[in-house]
Amino acid sequence: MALIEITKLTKTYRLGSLVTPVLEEVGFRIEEGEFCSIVGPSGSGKTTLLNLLGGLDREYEGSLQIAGQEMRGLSDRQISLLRSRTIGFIFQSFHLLEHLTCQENVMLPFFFAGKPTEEARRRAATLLERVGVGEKRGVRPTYISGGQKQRVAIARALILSPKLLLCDEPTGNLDRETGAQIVALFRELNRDLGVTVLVVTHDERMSRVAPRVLRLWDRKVEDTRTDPSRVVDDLARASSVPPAAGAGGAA
Amino acid sequence: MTLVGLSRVVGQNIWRNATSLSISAVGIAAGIALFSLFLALVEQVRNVVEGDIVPIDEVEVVPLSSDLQRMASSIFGEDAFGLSDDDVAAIRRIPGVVDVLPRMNLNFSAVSFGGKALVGSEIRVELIADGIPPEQVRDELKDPPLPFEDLRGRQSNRICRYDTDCPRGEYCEVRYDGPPANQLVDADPLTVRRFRACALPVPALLSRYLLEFYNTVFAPGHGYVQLNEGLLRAAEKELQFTTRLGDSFMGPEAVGWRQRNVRMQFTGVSEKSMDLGVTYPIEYVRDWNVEYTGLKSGARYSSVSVRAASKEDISDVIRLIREAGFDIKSRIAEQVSSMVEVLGIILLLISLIVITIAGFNITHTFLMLVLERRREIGLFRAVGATRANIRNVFLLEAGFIGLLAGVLGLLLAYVSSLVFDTMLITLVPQFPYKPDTFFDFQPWIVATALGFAVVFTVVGAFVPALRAARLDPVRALQ
Ligand SMILES: Nc1ncnc2c1ncn2[C@@H]1O[C@H](COP(=O)(O)OP(=O)(O)O)[C@@H](O)[C@H]1O
Ligand SMILES: [Mg+2]
Repeated sequence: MALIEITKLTKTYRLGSLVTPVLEEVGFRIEEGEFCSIVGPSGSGKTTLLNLLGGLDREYEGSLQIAGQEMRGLSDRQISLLRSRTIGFIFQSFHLLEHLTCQENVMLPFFFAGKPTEEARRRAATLLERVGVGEKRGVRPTYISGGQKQRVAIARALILSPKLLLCDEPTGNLDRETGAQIVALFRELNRDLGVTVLVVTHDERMSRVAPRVLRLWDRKVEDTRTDPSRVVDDLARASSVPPAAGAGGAA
Repeated sequence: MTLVGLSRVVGQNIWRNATSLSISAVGIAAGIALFSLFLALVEQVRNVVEGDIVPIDEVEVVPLSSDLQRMASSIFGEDAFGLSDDDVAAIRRIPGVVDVLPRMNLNFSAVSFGGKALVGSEIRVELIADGIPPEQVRDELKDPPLPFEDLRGRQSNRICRYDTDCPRGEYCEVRYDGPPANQLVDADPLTVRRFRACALPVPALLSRYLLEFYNTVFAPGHGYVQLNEGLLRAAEKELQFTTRLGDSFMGPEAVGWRQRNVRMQFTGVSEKSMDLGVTYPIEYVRDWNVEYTGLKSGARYSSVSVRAASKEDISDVIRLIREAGFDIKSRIAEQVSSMVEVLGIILLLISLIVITIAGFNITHTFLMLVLERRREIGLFRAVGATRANIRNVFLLEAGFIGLLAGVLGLLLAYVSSLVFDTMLITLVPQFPYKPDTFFDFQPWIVATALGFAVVFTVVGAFVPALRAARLDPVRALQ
């Protein structure tokens, strides 16, 4: 069973008389443990697709299954449970709560999952250590850099051990260097923890890092796989490598 | 979601928005302060009125009649008006009645004076009095200076000119001889023989209310000494007052030549004594009524005090008494009490209006909070919060605020009550049964106030909480 299975997914925004078709009969599947980037020009529907995958938006036609469950049919409780157990979100603007410490921010999903607080505290500390901001535990997000904020947000997304990380332009608010470090962290987490990672970006360099790239274009998705030999871990180096001609074989 | 998790989120939220939340909580606190203050006031008034002034398990039964009948019977000097011994027996048989005390009013004018030795100045008052069967208070009076009963059988009746001619404890009293007592009214003074004989003073009872009235209103106004039961007992001889039967301060009396003095001696304070007057053994009152109004026998009672087995029985007892053809005398205390209750209800309504307005204020504040926390609500949904979780966060937050506002309001009420008490004690003159405090914060008042504070705050926050729960997470996160 694929972690994500999409067939003939169509998404159209309707605002009164204004009709905006965004996705048209799109189809692809993503297996557990994959590392995948979604690229496309701004306004091409990347965020829309991610919101659909995360169940934040459930108005669509066609079929969209996460871990075998059709999103449309789930109750608010079931979808919340799915988000809590299976999905971790990472946003461009971090969405950290400024009135909480970094550790408390990381613990937040635990509060809604009905698990003991002591375990949350321990796991949060471990994860903050793991993503490289262990020393910022007791600090409030106001006082740390953008890269560190995103690391805290990643720890928060990971705290309930999700199968799927949905990252919407996680490097969009960071400089190139820091962004490259965050992407490297995603690669590491994907490899070490086996978590499936979907990274939305309009940074073309990502296609060098991700073994698989979904290109959004003209309401369609072009599914491309990078030649494994050309995949690099380091975005900084990726920019010096010439672009892969025509990209790897289509799915 | 665990309660610990929920309350942590809520605690952090309250801490963060402490200023705006406490501003909106002040309204609730003010409303609750008024609410509990008014309840405590009504409660205390009820305590005083029902507990001290008139026991609530007692009523006074009077004959069912129009004022016209009453007038007729007094004009024609008939014995027709009033309650007979049969009536008293009938009332005694009513289920739930445990005690009946027939009373007979003094039906003519009399004045009393005396007390100089005791209070420092001669007291002169129009006498209001009645009589009750003395055997019904015998057990109540401990060690009276004079037994409370008809003492006329025990006195020497020796002919005298001055008090000093009489045995110890007796005085020289004016009496009449000639026509039967009830015909003295119309008798030719020349046919009546006037003589003096030794008599024991007439024993009299005071009510606690009268003592209180004397101490709080009368004594301070006239600069008299304050009295208490101990002093009354110690005084004995000094407490002899002279009563002039047939006289009045109010206007000329038609009985000029028949006025005569009797001496009375206070023998104690009793619940059974009339509130604003003195109470004698009934035999004296009966004979005096015959002597001064011309009634044939004086066998009719003016009213019967009835005590029920308990407070709960009283309404049944009242109903049965009415069904048996008697009337209930409405009591001033009851009227005061119901007036205070009506006033209390009005004040409560005002405080409820204040709380309701404060509730709307809460709604407003929480709508602002929901707007302010849009992104956060979106994030909560993204990390696994259900709609119900979001709603509960806001409701629990409101509940906490309500509880805090309630506690604050109660503190405010308590402090205000202390201020009011001090003001009223120093500014308002003494009056009978003026209590030490005007407020009684019963546990149920505290509980109700806290409950109302929480309920109104939570209800106020309900619409905003629902709005937060229904927020589209995608939009909220934008
Ligand atoms: N809530 C919405 N209502 C109507 N139109 C929307 C909404 N969100 C996005 N769109 C439109 O859908 C298209 C895709 O938007 P989006 O998914 O945000 O693109 P991207 O993330 O790739 O920049 C855009 O044309 C955008 O204007
Ligand atoms: Mg976008």
